Amino acid sequence: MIDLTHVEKVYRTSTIETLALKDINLRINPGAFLSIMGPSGSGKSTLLNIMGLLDDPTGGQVQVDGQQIANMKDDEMARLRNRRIGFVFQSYHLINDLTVVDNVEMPLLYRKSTSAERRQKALAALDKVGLSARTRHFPTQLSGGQCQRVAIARAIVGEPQIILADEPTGNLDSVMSDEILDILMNLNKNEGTTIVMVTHNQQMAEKTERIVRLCDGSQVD
Amino acid sequence: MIRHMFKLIWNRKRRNYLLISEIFFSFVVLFAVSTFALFTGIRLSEPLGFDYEDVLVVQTNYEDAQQTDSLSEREVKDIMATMERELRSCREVVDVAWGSSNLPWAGSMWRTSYIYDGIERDYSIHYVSDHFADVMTMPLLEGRWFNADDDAAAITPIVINRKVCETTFGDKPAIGQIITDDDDETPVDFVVIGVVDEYRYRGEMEVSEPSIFFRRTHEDSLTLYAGTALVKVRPDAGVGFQKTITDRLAEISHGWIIGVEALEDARNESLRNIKINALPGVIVALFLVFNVALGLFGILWYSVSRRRGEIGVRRAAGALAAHISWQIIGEALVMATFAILVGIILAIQVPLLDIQPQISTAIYLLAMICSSLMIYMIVAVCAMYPSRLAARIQPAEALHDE
Repeated sequence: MIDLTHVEKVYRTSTIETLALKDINLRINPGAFLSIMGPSGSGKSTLLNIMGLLDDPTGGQVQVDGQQIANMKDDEMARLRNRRIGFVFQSYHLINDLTVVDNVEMPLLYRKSTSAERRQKALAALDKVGLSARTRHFPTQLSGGQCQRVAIARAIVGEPQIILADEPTGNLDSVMSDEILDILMNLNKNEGTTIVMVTHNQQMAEKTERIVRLCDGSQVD
Repeated sequence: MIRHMFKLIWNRKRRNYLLISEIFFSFVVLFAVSTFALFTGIRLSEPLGFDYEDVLVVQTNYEDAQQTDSLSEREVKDIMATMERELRSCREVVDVAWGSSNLPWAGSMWRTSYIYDGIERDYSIHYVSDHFADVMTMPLLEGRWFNADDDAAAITPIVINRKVCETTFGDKPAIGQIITDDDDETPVDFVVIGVVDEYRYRGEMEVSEPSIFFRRTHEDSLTLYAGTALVKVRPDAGVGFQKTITDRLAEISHGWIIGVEALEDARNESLRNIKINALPGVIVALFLVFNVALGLFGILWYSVSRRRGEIGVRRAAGALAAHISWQIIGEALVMATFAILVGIILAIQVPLLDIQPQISTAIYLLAMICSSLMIYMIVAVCAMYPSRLAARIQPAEALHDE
C-alpha cells in the first residue's frame, strides 16, 4: 500500500541545511492502522506529507498503491491523492464560507461526478460520522469535535483506501478525542481503510496496531 | 464547479461587497461609453444623403449690406444674380446653388409645423434653388427636383426626404400628397413633387429628421431668401481658388462676402469638436476602469495570500494546479457576474424610460453586451497573475503555514 525505502528529506535555504528525515524505511500494508509518534520537530508531519504525496522526498523511494512516485508529474500525484488518499488535519482546514455538506463534497469536485452523486455521497459520509443533522450548518456554528468529524467525512467521501491524519485530536478534549478515534477505528475495522495517524497521545497510539517512533528525523522504533 | 463558485461568492458577499460595487460602477461607465461609441459609430457609417466633397460655401450678409447701403430689393437681387454668373464663368466651377442659412454643419436649424391628415407635425425646412440637388449630389428616390416649370405651379411644390414619408405618409405614395400650413388666416397648401433619401444636414452625429425643401429663385421676396451660395468645384480647384472667389465676389457685391469655406472643412471642424467634447468622458472612463483593474488585482493577490490554507486543502484533496487557477479566475468572474447583473438591471431602465429617444434599444443592448464582455475581460486579465500564484502554492507549505 505505502512503501518507503531509504527516504530522506532535507530543507535547504541559501545559508542553512536541515535534515528533516533520515533513512526512513517503512512498509504499511493495506488495512493497517499505524501511529507515528515523536517529539515536536522530529519529522512526523513531514513523513505524513511525503506519504500523502504533498511533499517530495530529497532521497529514497516512495511507492503508493504500487505506483512509484519519483517520476510522477504534479497533476498525476494530485489525481492519485484524489482517488486514493484522504487527509485529516489537526486544525480541520474547513472552508468557513461553505456549509458542512458543501465542505464534504469538495474532493468530489475534482473528479467526474454529477451534482446529485456528490450530494448523495457527502450525505452518506456525514451519516457515517454522525453529523446528518448538521449538513446545512457552517463550520463556525459547530464545536471542535463536530468540525473534526466534518473533516473526516470530507476525507472519506471519495472512498479512499488510505487516510492520513495529522494529530486529528490535537485540538480536542479527551471525550471528543475518543469519539474521533472511535470513528477512525470503525473505518479501519469495517471498511478496511488504511489509517496512518500522527499523534502525541501515547494512550491513543496504543490503541492502534503499530507505533512508529521518530526522533530527530530518524526512525527509532 | 461553477455552482460551487457561485455558492462561495454568495456566502462571501459581505466581504466582496466593495469590490462588486466597484465593478458595478465600472460597468455603468463602460455602458455609457459603449453606448456613445456605438451610437457614434453607427451614425458615422450611415449615409448623410448628400456629398460634401468639392463644395464651397459662400456666405453673404446681404441683409446688413442692404440696410447699410440703402439698396433696394431689386438691386440686391441683381447683385446676387451677377455673383452667380461670375461664379459660373470660372473654369473651376461645376455648378452653383443657393440655400438658406441652415446649410450642412452651419449649426443653424429652422423648424416649423404643418398639418397633414388633420395631424400637426414638426418639420425642418430648407429654402434652396433649382441646382441645389445637383451641387449636393442628392439622389432622388421618387419624383423630381425643382425646375423652371415650377414658376407657374398652382400649388407650392415641395421636395421631402424619406423621413417625412415614414413619419407623415406611412405606406401611402408620397408624390402628390398635400401638406398644409395653417399658421396664417388663409391656409397654404404644399404639394410633394419629389423625395430624396436622407438629409442629415446637422452632421453625422444627428439622426435624420423630417426635412422639407422649398424652392427659391432670385426673383423671390427677400423675406425668406436663400442667401448662401453653394459652389461645386472641380477636384483640382485647389485651396487658392477660395481666395479668388472671395476677391472677385467682394468686388461685385461691394464687400458683402463674409466668408468662403469648404464644406468638408466645416465637417472636419464639427467632428473635431465632437472628439474634444468626448475626450474628458473617455479619460474619466479609462481612469476609472484602470483603478478598478488595479484594485481588483490587489484584492485578488491579497485574497490568494489569505487563502493559502484553503488552497492547500484543495490541493491535498486532489485539485490540479489548473483547478486552483480556474478557481481564482472563476470566482473573480462570478463577482463580475453579480456586478453586471445589477448593472444590467439599471442599464435596462434607460431604453425602458426612453431617456435618449435618438438612441435605439438595439444600441443599448449591444452596449450592455460590449460592456459586459469588457468587464469580464478586465477581470480575467486581473485575475490571471494571482491565479498563477495560487496554482504554484505547495500544499505541504500552505498547510504548515496555517
